Amino acid sequence: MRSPNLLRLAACAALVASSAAIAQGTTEQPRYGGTAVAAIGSDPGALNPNITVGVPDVFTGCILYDGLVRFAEGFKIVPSLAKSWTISPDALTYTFNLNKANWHDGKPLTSEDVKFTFLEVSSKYGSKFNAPGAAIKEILTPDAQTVVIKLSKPFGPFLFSMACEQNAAILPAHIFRGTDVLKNPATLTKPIGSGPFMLQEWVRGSQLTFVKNPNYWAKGEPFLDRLVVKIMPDPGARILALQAGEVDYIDQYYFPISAFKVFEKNPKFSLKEVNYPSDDIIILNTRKAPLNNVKVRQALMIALDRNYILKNVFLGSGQAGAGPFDSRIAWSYNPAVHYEKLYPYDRAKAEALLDEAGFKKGPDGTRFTLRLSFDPGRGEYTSWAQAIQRFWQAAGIKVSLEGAERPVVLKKVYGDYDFDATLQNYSTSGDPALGIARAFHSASIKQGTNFNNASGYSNPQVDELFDKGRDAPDQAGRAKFYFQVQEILARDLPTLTVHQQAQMGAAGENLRGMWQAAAYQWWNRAWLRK
Amino acid sequence: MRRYVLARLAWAGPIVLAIVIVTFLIIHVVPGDPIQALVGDFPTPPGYAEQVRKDFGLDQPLATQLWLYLSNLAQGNLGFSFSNRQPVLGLVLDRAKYTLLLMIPALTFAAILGITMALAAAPRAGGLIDSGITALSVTGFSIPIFWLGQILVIAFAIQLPWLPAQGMVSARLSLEGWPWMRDVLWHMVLPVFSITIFYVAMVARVARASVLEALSQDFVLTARAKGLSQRTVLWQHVLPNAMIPVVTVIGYNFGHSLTGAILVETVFAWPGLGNLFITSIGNRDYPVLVGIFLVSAIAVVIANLITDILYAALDPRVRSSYGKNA
Repeated sequence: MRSPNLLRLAACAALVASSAAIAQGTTEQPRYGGTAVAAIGSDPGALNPNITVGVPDVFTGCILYDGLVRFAEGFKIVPSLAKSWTISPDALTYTFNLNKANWHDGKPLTSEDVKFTFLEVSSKYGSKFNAPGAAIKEILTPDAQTVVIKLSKPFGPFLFSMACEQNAAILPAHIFRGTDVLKNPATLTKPIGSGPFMLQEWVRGSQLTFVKNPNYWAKGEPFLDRLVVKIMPDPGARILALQAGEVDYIDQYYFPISAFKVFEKNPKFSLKEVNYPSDDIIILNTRKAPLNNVKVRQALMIALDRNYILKNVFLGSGQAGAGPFDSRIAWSYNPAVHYEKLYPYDRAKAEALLDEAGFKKGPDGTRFTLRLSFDPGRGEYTSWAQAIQRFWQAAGIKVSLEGAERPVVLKKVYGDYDFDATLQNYSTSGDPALGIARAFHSASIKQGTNFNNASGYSNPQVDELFDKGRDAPDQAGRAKFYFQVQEILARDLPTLTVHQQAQMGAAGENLRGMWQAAAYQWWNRAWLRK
Repeated sequence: MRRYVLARLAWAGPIVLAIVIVTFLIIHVVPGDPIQALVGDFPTPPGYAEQVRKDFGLDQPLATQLWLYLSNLAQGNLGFSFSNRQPVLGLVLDRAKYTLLLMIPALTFAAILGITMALAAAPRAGGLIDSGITALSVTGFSIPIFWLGQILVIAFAIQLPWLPAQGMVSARLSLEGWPWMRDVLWHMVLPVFSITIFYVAMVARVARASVLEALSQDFVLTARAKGLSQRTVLWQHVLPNAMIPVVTVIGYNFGHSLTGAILVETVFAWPGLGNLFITSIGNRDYPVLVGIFLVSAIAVVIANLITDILYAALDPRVRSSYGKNA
């Protein structure tokens, strides 16, 4: 079963486009040598990127390991360990041709490693690989360089799920087979990867030092001799170290929005959107009155001036919430569904809607009270909660702020459903099937499991459209269902998307190459100007 | 005296045990799930979270977990860190040495400077030098240590790029031997200075009051009447008599030195125990937290014991009272 030429062409086009993107923006020739320094907030728990979605683990793990594919700018899927691939017309068979690569211990990387990784590690321990892993029917290895993956049903974001940061780093079967993956020394302290760098030393609480893999499969790469990942828990310390030139790069997860203005116009630093779009949302508990009333939820949206919040709370970084889908995943976003057009800020209209819903103001001017649960530990969430309180109280809704430490909030919201409204950040994970559906699909109502459908919203039509959007074989086909589901969600509003967060990574002027791509995994092309 | 020390040591055991049990229970009562911190925010594949929970004994009732912990503790095993996936004892001791690297010089400088400042200020109470030193010590005591740290970084690492902004070693260099030691010393300057400022203010305040009190005693008048110089009166007669409160303050702070630099370690990304403490709270890494409390409690008990012995060494009256009672 071979793919149509069109698909093959698309894969090639993606490759060329990415190469062009890599070359764009600079005429400088990459320079070999030097040590780059990146800062993250805490030590990784383990050096195996397939057993957790924790940022330090994935950040460091994807320096050591490669996936079959990786993302170029704009989340274009481009080759990595797989030099090419074909997809059958029914989207049930994926055939990958591997690059000739070796493990850090010199043994060859083969199709058996891919099969072992997906079946024995990623499917069992990888949270992000949960859904794609469940879709795999069997994996065939006709020769050492060819992997054929057969699916039991189409899974739209399957190719997307083959990247390192999707818990799909290819691991060495000869090291892990027959062992407890979680306790294997390669997971804990002595990783054997195939990536551009090898671990030299790990001083916990201080830094991880990686050295160049001289036998990296991509000829001429990497450019750096060493890469040091510093552990810096304090955001202020990270920012000062970047300013002092001691750190070259701060990953977006650890770059505080409050620093955005400091670096935005300083030519010595570059800021760039480097991760999947992510949204700041208000989840409404639709299980009980008054939030089980759609008119109330719409009124809450209309009563919020999202542009004010964008400007004053999020300091102008990112954009006001466009809709239930992030507008930056352009292929899936329905431009007809735009909150600015559907629900422009209008307090009088919000009050009229609340009256209409039967929640008239009492003698003290209050219609009802809502408890707003949030984590003040997140940079801007306290001022965001206060802004919401001000806007909603102006419409006669009393808001009691319930700020608590993150684990407490998670337990209240996802464990006990003991909240009226809560402020959360949901990553789209780059694909609606991976990051967006979980907030709305009724199969995601799983008490005690975090970051799923906490609103309790359940609509069979929405479930069906999300399923069809996930399973359709091509992007255009998927988008058709997603466009429809956005119209329903924008009407029902179980969550209010207030802000599309800027996922800014920050680099000093000396670091090059790293910036030519999204997400984490391009240290192989990073180089230092001097 | 020896019986007194033995009695104090005998008491230390139950005190440390009580601290361990109370902290174990308090930490476990705080909401939060270490497994969540381990596997991340996405729903895990079926059975995975349960497997990890079982591996770490977190599926057991709290009483069983406590009993297991205490049984292991009796064998010198402080447990296994969830988030670092390594034994707690090695992890805590490894980090403690980096903290002591900051705290011992800082407290030593603070003791020397603080006492010297007090001896300079007290005899001229109310004068210009005294007012100046008092103002300095109030300022040093009141400045938030993390703020001071950041200001020092901005001043001496960014505006005047003389000193490193963070860390214990230069990440870009690969040093060994003496160059490595020099690099570490270089990185110690700003954090040690930040801690010293705080403690010097504390020691100076206590020592000044204590010296002032000793100066009003009759023996000082006698010493002066005998024609002794001011320097001899201060250093040989006043200082030993004024030292008890000063030793108390310094001893107390040495006891707390393992956890005393949390904020400074955070600001300067110093890989010490304070830093480990902060990240372990976020990760709900119970064994590490209890381990840090345990090691700190032992340090406090030892520091108090040494302080008590120093009292006796400094003051013959204390010695003789031990003699009578013992």
